This record gives sequence, C-alpha cells and structure tokens, in this order.
Amino acid sequence: MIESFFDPRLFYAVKQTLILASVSTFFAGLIGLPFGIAAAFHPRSEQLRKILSLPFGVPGLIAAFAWIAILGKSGWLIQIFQRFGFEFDFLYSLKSVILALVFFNIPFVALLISLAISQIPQDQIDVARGLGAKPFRVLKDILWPSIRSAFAGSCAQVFCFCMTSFALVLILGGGPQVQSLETSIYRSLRFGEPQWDLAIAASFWQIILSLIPFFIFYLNRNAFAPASFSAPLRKIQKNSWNWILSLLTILLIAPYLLFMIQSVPTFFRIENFYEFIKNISGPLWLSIKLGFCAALLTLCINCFLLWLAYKKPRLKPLLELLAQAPSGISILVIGIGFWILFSRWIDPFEGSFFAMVILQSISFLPFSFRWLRWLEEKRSPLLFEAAQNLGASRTRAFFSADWPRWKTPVAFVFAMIFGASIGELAALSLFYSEKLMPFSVLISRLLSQYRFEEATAVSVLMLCLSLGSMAFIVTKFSRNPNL
Amino acid sequence: MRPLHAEAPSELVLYTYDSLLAKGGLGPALFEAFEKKFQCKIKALANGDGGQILTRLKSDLDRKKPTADIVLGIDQNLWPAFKKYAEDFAPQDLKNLHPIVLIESGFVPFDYGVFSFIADTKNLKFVPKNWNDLLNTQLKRKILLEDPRTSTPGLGFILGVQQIVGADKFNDFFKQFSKQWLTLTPSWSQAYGLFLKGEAPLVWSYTTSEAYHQAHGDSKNRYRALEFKDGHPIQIEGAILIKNSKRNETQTKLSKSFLEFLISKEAQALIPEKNWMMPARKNVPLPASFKNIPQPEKLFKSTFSEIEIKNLLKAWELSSQ
Repeated sequence: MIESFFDPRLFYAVKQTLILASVSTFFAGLIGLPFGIAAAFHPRSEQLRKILSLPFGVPGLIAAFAWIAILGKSGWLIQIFQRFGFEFDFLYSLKSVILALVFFNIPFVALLISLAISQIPQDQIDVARGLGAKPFRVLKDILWPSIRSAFAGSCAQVFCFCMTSFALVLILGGGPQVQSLETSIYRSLRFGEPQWDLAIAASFWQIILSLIPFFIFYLNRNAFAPASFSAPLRKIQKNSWNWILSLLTILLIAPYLLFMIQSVPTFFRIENFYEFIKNISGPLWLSIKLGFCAALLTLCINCFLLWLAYKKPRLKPLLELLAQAPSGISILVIGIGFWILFSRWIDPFEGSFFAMVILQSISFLPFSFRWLRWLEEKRSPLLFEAAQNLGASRTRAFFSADWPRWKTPVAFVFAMIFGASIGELAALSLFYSEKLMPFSVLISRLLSQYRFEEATAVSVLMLCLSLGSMAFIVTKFSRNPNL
Repeated sequence: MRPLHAEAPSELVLYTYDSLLAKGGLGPALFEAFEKKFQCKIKALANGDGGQILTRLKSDLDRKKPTADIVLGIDQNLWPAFKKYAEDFAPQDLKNLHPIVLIESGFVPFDYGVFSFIADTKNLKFVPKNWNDLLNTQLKRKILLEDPRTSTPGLGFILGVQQIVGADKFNDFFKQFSKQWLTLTPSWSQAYGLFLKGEAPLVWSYTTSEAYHQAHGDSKNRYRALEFKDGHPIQIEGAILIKNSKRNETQTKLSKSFLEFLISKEAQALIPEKNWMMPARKNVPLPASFKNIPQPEKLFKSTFSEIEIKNLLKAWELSSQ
C-alpha cells in the first residue's frame, strides 16, 4: 500500500498534473485579467458577461469533440492550413490539452474580474482621473485593490478545475505521455479488478496539490485582501476598440458553436428519426430533472452554510473549509466512496437518482460557495433592519432588502450548475441504470454501440440544452446592472 | 425474487457488455432465437464493460443477493479474474469448436477475433508488413490505438507485442512505438470513430472489420485488414455460468441450455454478421463479405495471469511515458 504512494507512474502523473494546472492557470489568468477589465468598461458589459458565462454549460466531453472538429487531422482549420501547404500537427498532446483548458477557463477569470470591477464606485475613478492619474495609476491604485481578491480566488478555482479535468485530458491528451491524477484514478478503478491502492494514492496527491493555490493565497492574504466598497452604479465608457473585445468574447465560445453548426447534417443521416426522438426523450427529461435538482440542492446547502456562518461567526472558518474541501477531491473518488457505502443497502446497479443529485451537489458546492460568499460578506444590515422596523417579518425583510442583490448571482450559479450537471459524466456513470440514463451516459452508451451519428446528434442536443438553459436563465434574471 | 411457479415462464438473467446489446447486434438476435426455442424470457443487463461486470458480481456476492445466472462476453484475459465466480460447466458440443478457442473448463467460448490493423488505403503511404515495420518513421502519428488499461483490444495489442515481438524487446519496442500513435482512446469505438473521420490511416481492430466494410458498400476496398507475417494475437469471447446463483432446478437447466445453445449451429450462424467476429464452431458457413479477409497462419492466444497482466501494463506505461 505504502509503495503505491511513491509509484513512478504516479509521480509522472503528479508532474503532469502540476504542469497542466499551473500553465493553464497562468495563461487563463494572464488573458482573463485584462479581458475582464476591458469587459467591465465595455458599453455592453452586461451582454459580454452573459456570453462569458456560457462556457460553464459546455460539457468537457463535448468541448473535446469540438476541438477535434477544429484542430484534428480532419478538422476544418487544419484542412485550411493544408490547402495552403502548411503541415500542422497539434492535437493529442500536452499543448492541445492546455489550449483547451485555457480557452475553457479564460471566461471564468474574466467574468469574476468584470463582476468585481462592477462593484467599484465610478466617482473614485473619476476623482483619480480628475487629479491627473494616468490609466496605469488608476489600475494600480483603484482597480487592483478591488479585484485582487477576485483574481486570486478565480485563479485558485481554475487551478482546481484544471487539476480535476477529466474528459479533455483523456481525449485530447493522446495517451500515457499526457495524464493527470484524475485520469490515473479513472484508469485504476475502471478496468478489471479496481486497484484501490493506486486510486487512494492518486487521490492523496490530488488533495495535496489542490491545497497549493490556497496555501499561496494564505501566505499572501494581505496582498489579496478585498477592498471594501458600497457600490453605486458605474458608468460605462465608449471607445472604438470595443467591437474587437466583443469579437474576442464570441471567439471564446466559437469552438462549441462551430461544433454545433458542423454537426447539423448528422440529424439528417439518422435512419429512423422518429425512433431516435422517442429514445432520447427519457434521457432528456432525466437530465433536465437532474440539473434542476442538483442546482437547487447545491444552492440550498450553500445558503444554509452562509446562514450558519452569519449566525455563528465562530464556525465560519470551519464552514468555509467544509464547503471548499470537495474541490480538491476527484468526483470519482467521492463517487466510489459513496458507491461502496450505498451498495450495502441498495443495489447501486439499479441506479439512483438521489445518489446522482447528492454527488453532483457535493462536487459543485465549492464553486457555488466561492461565488456566493461575498453576498453574505457584503450584506447591508441597515436595510434589513429598516425593513424590520417598518413591521416586515424576517422573511419579508430578506426579500425586500437582500433578495434584489442576491437574485442575479443566485440565478447565475443556478444556471451554471444546471449546465454543468447536464454534461457531468463521472458521478453519473456510477449510478445510472437502464431506466435512469442521463444524456452524458447515453452518449457513451451510443459510442460503445457504434452508433456514432446518434451520439453526435445527442451531443449537439446536450450542448443546446446546457447553453440554451444558461442563456435563458441568465437573460431572465440578469436585470440588475451590477451583474 | 423471480417467480417460481411452474406455469410462469422462466426468466434467465444475463450480465453483458454494452455493445453486445446494440440495436441489430448479436444480443437481440440471439435472445430472440433462444426465447422462441425454450419458451422463456431473457433479461439482459448491460454493465458497461468487463471490469464493471466484475465489480457487479463482487457487489452481488457482498450483498448476498446474486442477480444473474450467466455472464456473456468476457474474453480470455479477463477469465482469470472471473474464474472464482464461474461454475465448472462444459457444454457437450465443445468438441465441435476450433481447438484454439478452448481455454479451460467453465469458460464457454462462443466467438473469436483476429486482431489486426485496419488501413485506410486512400490515405496510407507506407504499408507495414510486420510488427517491426510499425516503428517506421513514415508511420509517425499515423496510428490509432486503444488504451490497454481500459480497452480489451488495447490490452490485446500489448500482449501481442509481448508474445510476437518478444518479452526481451518489449520495453524498447514501446519506447519507439509511443511516438507512432496519434492517440490512445479509452475504447475501441472511439478509436474506430476517429479512424472513420480520417484522423489517422491505421487503427487497431479486427480482421473482420474489413468484412464489415465489404458488407456495407466498400466496393473499392478502401478499408483493408493488414496481415503480418510474424503473426496476430487473437481475442476469444466466452460466457460463464455464475456459481451460487439462486436458481431453482428449472432455471439451472435453462442456464445450461443457453450455454449449449450459444455454441449450437443455429446461434453460431448469427455470429459473423451480428457480432462481426469469427464463430467459435468449426464449419459454420461464412457470408460472402468474410471470404476475402486475411486468414493469418500464425495466431497467438494469450493466457496471462492477472499478476502478469498487471506487471506488463506497468512496464508498458513506464516505457511509453
């Protein structure tokens, strides 16, 4: 058992994971930071933020297919290069995984930065500029203090996202030369007799690595401490470069949209379209239910933890740790643990909707908690008390004083978890059954039954469902100009 | 529990892998024929792949609630892991099977496949003729392979290298060969999907894949199975009767009848065009699409223990990194 912790294969995976996660985080942060600042000052910043939130709904599996459709040997971009006589061999390597991860995570960093800037009072910037401060000085003294906490938090989260990335590494990595701890866990549990010793050792190293960003964050806590503002609305500035930023924002979701467009002819090649629709209606409905329940449960747990932290400030560090602990643990490991526990009472092969929802909620909790924590930190007790003094009950006071500020971020988080839940595969693959088969499992099943056309069609539908639902929720609830 | 009334039709429960139950595949055709002949009901439960079936059997045992009677579709490399769950049963018709498919009592072979590379002749410039040709620089990043840690054809490849290229050259072979593959996919279907998309001109599959293309309109012989003079590894698929399953006498009889039926002329005739594998039984008429596929003379049947496979995988992983 002990020697498994020092297995050379595992050390190789640790090294690769570290390279993958740190390089991807570096570039996602490097590009995401200016992107987010620029997006915050864009006249259509609200629309840009809506677009930036969409990639969260893209399942890793589909993102990998999208990159193959573009950069694969038969991908359209490579075909164009070849027509002009350029040989371009990029996919199935460490570079391609990093590219996909950077593309996937730039929107996340940019979105958080843009949201943080939207909290800065415009008069502070105006006063600084009026006193002759150059843009760099404004950035250094006004913007940076207010966004550094969001920047550090988003980078820490991106590091964890990259470290536990599964489908992108598995499909775009190209084999044992590129593997992460997450794929090592998968391989040690998936085939033949599960190799628990290797899986446990890989999980151990994964938890250790996931603590790195938080450790750095802790060591530099003063440098990353958030500046406090009670923010009135910001004004927006217009300049001629805005259209470039709009184009770049669209570029971030272009691979997925192009995959969708490119796959449309697949629908016409399906032999019995009526039967296909009939067969996918069950998984479609299940995926919607699953996404809804997982998002709702995650929010409920999150709100409960926030309420508890508000009521018992002494417990706050413990609750924060509790909420963020799952971010460094593979969902496969949590799932297998849950599976072992669960199988003592019920046949896990019969499938369990309940287990799927719980497992997904646990894995999405850290993300949700980081996103919503600032709401509790920046709540305005004065308004709440004023509402109570006017005779409103606690619930009524909350809905009058706090809910308008909570509504949009809560809707954002709901939409993101809903989208991510639809595309999640690891947790679902442990608890599905013939009667409980969500979309992501159905795609794997169709692929394993050589029904490639139908698998592509279901992938497109899944992408439409997750992107569509996110766009709908974000548009519907994004009325607050601050978000 | 299943009904035990004499008048109720008996039910046979099977664990199998996903692709065997594919629409138009072997599973549905085989079960329909058996149900008709024996007036019973077959309940087939798909469990992903062999590894998941094993986990399920273990879980059934832990919970003391055996569910299935038969496991259909394990290969000879998974057999050592399944052995402890199998009842020692040998159908009478075993003598009519090809000798190469016979493994051990308890493992009932029903088909076999000869592993080989399938070439997209339209896009392949250099055609390998033996295993060492695979290391030719002209094939750099031109090969699609399955991951041996998650796929049986992938495992078949590395066991083939061990047997054909030689145990002493195993590490050196993979040190060089790791530069040749474009990617390793988690399963055969993903590798084949990428191959058909044109991602690479060579894919590790079965000689019968050529027959599949022939039967599906490949009149120009674009997709060809390559024959290597130094030999080909084979995969043997089999079924087992699960030990200690809570069966009554009728169900036990029915389970044994199913295994007998599996290697009967009637069931074996379904194998070629329903599972795209070679029938385990001798003298089964083959469809026209199978007539021109390569029939390699040297075939290698792997019979490695669990530990040996584990060590080989470890050696492969270290030399490929």
